[in-house]
Amino acid sequence: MRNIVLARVDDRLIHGEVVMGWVPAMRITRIIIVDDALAANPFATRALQALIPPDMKCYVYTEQKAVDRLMADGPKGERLLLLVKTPLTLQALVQAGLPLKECNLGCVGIDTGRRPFFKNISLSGEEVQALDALQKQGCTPYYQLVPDQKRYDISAAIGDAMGRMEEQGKSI
Amino acid sequence: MFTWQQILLCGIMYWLAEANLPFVTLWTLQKPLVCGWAAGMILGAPAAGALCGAVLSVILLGFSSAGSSMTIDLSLAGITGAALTAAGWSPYAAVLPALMAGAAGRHIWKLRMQVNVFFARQVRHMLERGKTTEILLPAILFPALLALAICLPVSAAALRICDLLRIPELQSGHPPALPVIRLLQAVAPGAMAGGNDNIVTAVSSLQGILAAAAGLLPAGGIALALTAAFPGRGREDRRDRKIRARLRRGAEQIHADAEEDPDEMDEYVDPDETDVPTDPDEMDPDETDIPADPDEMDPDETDAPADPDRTGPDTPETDYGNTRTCGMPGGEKKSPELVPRTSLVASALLWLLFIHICYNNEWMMGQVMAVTFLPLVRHLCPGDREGQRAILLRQSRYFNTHCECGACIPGLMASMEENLAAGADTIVTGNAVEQEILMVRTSLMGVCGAMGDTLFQKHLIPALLLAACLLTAVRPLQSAGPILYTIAMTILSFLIGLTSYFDGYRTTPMNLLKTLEKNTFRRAEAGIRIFLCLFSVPAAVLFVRFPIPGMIPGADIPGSFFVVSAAGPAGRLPGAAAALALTAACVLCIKKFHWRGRYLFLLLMLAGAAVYGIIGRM
Repeated sequence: MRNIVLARVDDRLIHGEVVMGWVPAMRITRIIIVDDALAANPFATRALQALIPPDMKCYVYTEQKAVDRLMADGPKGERLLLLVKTPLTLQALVQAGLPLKECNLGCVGIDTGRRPFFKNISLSGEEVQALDALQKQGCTPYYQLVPDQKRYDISAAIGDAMGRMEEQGKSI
Repeated sequence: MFTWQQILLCGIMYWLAEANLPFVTLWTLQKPLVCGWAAGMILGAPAAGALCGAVLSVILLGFSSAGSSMTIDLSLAGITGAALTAAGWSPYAAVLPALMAGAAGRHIWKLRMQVNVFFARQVRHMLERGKTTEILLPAILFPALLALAICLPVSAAALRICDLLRIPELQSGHPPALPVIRLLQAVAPGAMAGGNDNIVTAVSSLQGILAAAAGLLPAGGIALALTAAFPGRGREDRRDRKIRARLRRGAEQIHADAEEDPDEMDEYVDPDETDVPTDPDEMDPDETDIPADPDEMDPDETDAPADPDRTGPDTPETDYGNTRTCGMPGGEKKSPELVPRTSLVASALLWLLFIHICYNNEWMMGQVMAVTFLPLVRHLCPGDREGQRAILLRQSRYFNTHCECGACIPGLMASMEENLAAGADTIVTGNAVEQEILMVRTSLMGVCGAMGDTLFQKHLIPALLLAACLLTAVRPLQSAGPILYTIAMTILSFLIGLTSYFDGYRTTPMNLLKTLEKNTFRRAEAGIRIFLCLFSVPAAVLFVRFPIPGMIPGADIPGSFFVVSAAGPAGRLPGAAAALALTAACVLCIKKFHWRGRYLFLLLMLAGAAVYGIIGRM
């Protein structure tokens, strides 16, 4: 299996916080982005690959291909950053057998169907359920924007959100 | 006592710096060098304030606030440092209290990011109800007033505390200052010369130990900045470069090499995992993940997503090069020019002035992005309120990028909206223009953010700041450093921002992408790195200060170079060599042993204080 040193949910993908914060702090050598829509969007993929730091590489895979790639052995000394836009993708990867121990939540912007979840994370009901499932599958989600800042345990926030969703479901 | 006028002026300055009004204050007034000097001017000690700000700037050179993160409130640190120097503290002794104030001040940024969410939602509600120009209130005016309401009392409180810590009042045992004195007597009794516990000695020891603890920190700051600008290549990358060179020599040679070293080739030559070369001229379509011809696409990577609800509508159907069905032909200026130049300039200026004022946790810059379209919508959809509302709603969606380097995105958006208004069917991928607009802005915002943050915060600003700090350390030029730095950064910010905006407006999405792929900014970074290295050497010599008892308290001349020179010209060289050696050791610790900045700083502080304490006892 590839040496994934950080799995991060950030819908901006490669961004200042990643390039200036996480990449040097975790000594990342490769970035793998998993997103079906992005893999089918050459404009976005080219933009991502054009501007990554010169001393590293970036690949964009579909979920299906990512599992094959990530489960295979990687080169020696590789330190890989796995970037996804939504927890749903991570859950799909873990479901497919990728043994992730923890995942970092960075920034997920609000959009149609999403509600504020924790600090600058906004999630839809499906995404909260995905985080809950990840937690149950042994992949602990936590919030940390940049390496210099505090790491927050979000299990209570997941529990609260799940509880609210259950109540709303009952009331409906 | 500081007067209310001084407190008010410092509060306004802190507000402009904290709220980024205009945005360039993030690079200028928020830097301790500039706000330390400005606060020093207001409080009557410009030279000492600039000096303290310069020391703080060198220490914090390697700390950056990428994206929405804020590690330390630089402006509050600068103002506190200047206020302490105005209260009689030596610049080095004021550094640690200023850093503590800055660390506490970062919560103000977090508070604003959270409270601004309320205003951002108001903008969305207004747009949904069909109000357009009214969004200026919740998008700009109210967040600015909120920032003023927060910054004025915080700055006043910081100045009041500094007032209580005035050296003459501490030395005369002014009652409010007594707890501080007693605390220091308890914490650092060893630093008190000869065990004398009178208050004057305690205050002197307090300054001495604080200055000693801060004196070595500039070495860590310079080391962090250098290692950030020179990330270096890992072992894997060096080997990859070798492999790439072999690939260029041809397929036969590859096979020959693989036979020589099969393990290595198996490890690296994966046809699906080849990267885009740094130089676009060397780009080989076989080596990229993006096929030039859609027919050749790898079905694994182009199949429609399994769950269409979870993905966007961006399914490519056409060539991704220069051809389009209508609208802007690639490589040429787009067809319609619906928006007059004055409105475009107004839009670009709105972007550069107010982009951070309503920065918030939910929509980031989305609301101000919509504001930048206010001068454009009446030209894009004249008399069509519904059309104007649709544009503003589309542009107010979640958005976050770098102000100057990412200014090409609002420019490009203006151009794409023009095409949409002129009836274009598609521009880039064959999808509807509305979808393409969202796709392009989302695709570019992160990468432009990364590019801008790297160029500005890792290269341009550290190099210019170091040059300005060096000027500040030269006695007759103490005010020249912050003034010249502010002028230079303001010109650069507006020049890059406006150029980027209009380049984005004049080009097509694909041409903009090709321009970005040329990596011109990497060459600029390489040039700036040379200056960063050049300035680092004298900065280390001037600002690293070794804990020599008797020289530190009350002294305002920075640097081991001058301190050691008190022993005569022969003493200068060892002091300079020691400062450079310490900086080199810090670089080694970061590069080789991967030390984090905070641990390195802690160690340097403890080392400085310990050496000062030990020598003080001797």
